[in-house]
Amino acid sequence: MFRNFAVRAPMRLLVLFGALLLSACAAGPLQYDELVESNQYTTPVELLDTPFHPQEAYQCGPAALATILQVSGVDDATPERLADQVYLPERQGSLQMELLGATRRASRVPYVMAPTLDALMTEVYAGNPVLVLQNLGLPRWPMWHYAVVIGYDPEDQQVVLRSGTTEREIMSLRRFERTWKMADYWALVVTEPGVLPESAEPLRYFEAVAPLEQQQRWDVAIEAYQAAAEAWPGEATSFIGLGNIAYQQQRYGDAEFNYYQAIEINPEQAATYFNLAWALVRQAKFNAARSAANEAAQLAADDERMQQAPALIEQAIEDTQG
Amino acid sequence: MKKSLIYGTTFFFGSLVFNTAFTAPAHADIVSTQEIVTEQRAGINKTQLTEQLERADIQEQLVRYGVDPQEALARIDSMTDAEIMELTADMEELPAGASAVTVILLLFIIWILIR
Repeated sequence: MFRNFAVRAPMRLLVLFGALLLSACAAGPLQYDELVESNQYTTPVELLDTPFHPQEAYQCGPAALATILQVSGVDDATPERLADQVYLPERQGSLQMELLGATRRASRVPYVMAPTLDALMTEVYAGNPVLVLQNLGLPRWPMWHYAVVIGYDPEDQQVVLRSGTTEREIMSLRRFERTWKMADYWALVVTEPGVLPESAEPLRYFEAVAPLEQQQRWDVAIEAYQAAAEAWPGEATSFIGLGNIAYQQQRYGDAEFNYYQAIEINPEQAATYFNLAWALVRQAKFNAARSAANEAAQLAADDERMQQAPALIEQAIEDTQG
Repeated sequence: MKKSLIYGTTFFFGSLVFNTAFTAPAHADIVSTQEIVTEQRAGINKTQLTEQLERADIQEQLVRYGVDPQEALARIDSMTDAEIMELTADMEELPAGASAVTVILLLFIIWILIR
């Protein structure tokens, strides 16, 4: 240790930094050992085509987001434009939810990845650069920083990042994991419309898509649900999503069709029958609507809204018939 | 009248006129996908929806943090209720990714102090 301090200043800094980190995050196991031992990733990878935006002061959020949005096909996503959308002048930085919001505004699905090195590698090896939040300081004295992981070298156990003003920042896997872990392993993957992230998990993905639907960004939500339906034929939520969009666009026949698809996959979900009942009422298929509403009420005995379904639908039928 | 209060009031009423997020959803009758997904995650039956006032409040906060008023509206529109609640909770404490330059400077200072 002391011998190390005799070497030139930058090295001393590194050693000191390492020591600080060591003392700072003793708690909780790291994942890198397991990843290395798994021998899953044996060839080096580096996504050379990933654009590089040397950040202006404090603007690593806009720069990192521009990098991954451009890869996903949003050509006009420049750091300057994104700074307007994600930069908080008084905090001299960008918040995570602002990055998610700006991604939605660019009509892309902001997929917050599972918090594992394995998921990270899965994405990078599939060609998707990953935006990560790092804490380059200490847990109690954080230095938040966004960077983009673009590569990994299994032999030297090093991660390659586009980071700040450095086009190819090389960081040991171990140190990278420590900085990432202190930011709760937060990572964002953005793919082209209709393409699932390689590591995508159904519920996580639906959590990323549903807000787009809520904000009436229909096209990107439809493409995302369609991709999910194809990838996970056993997930009813894709079809509920497609049905709900169709309903909100007043395509009630399409809505009905998708709700039936969802019911075929999961016949136990009350909400699907509830929504189906509405889609049927809107098409004046009153008897079918009544039985769907009854089904919803029967399936969810302790859900107040579902219990009201038959009465609500009866009222809607009366209103329709005037 | 306090400046922030004027801002807040202006945005609240302004947003009632301009902001679709403040108007009632056109189809409140069906169960939204958002609610279904939230239920699946939490195993709960009801989604807590952000009060409109909280949205106005966070808008005012964003403006105080230096964001242009019109832009603040657009940012809020692009976030989910859960994200907005998180934001309202503590804007000062949330991680704001910034520059690595600060880190290097800081390390240098520590180094000077400790050597």
